[in-house]
Amino acid sequence: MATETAAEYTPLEYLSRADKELAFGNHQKAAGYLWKATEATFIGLARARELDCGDLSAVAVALEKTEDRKGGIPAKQDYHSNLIHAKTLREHAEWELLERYELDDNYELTRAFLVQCNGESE
Amino acid sequence: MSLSNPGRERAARHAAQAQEYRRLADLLLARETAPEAAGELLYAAAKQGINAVANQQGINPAATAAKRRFLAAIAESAPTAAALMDNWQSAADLHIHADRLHLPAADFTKAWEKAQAFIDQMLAIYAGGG
Repeated sequence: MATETAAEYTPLEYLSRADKELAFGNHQKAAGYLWKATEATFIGLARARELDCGDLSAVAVALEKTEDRKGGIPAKQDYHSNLIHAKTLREHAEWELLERYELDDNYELTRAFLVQCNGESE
Repeated sequence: MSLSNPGRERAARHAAQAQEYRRLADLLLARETAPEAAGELLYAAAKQGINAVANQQGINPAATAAKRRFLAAIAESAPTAAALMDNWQSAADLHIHADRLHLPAADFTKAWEKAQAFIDQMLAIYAGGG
């Protein structure tokens, strides 16, 4: 469950930490940070639009209805699906569910989504 | 000379399996008793869809990792398949959900729809001759 206090860092800071952990081979930590980056991104998007951020799935659905895609996420992107992919990363962070190639697929998709939303991390 | 083509025969069998597994997944979902099992079956249908296309092209990716590599190659070579990896990931999300039950109903429905779209894409590629 997302909370108002969930984000200790910005999405880009979480993303940077995720990349570093992945580079060190700490794939569960990397997945956890990528989830936190996604969570922080959705909370930020919700706050900017004065949406209730207690239910991120509802936020994702609302964003898809209201987002001006001309200046935001390209139409091929999908807020809700990317949130779901990140939730699977969250599970991997806790339970080590994914094979490495499965993690890589999800990581790549989620990372690309986060960069589209937030820009590239330093 | 034999006219049989083992690759194409395997491809046809996998395409039929993809359709049958999907039909069963739809039935299971309609029963509303074990949606997570329906999701797992839809993931199996998605994998059969990959097998159908791969076998048609003379490739036999037995392990899931090999299926994924084949899929990535398709996605790179077909601009119209831009959403392919995203839809495949949705099928994989359903697979993980069968274990973890981590998706609330709205998320499950979304992942289900995208996994269905993935199977449609695979069967369309297969029907088009690979």
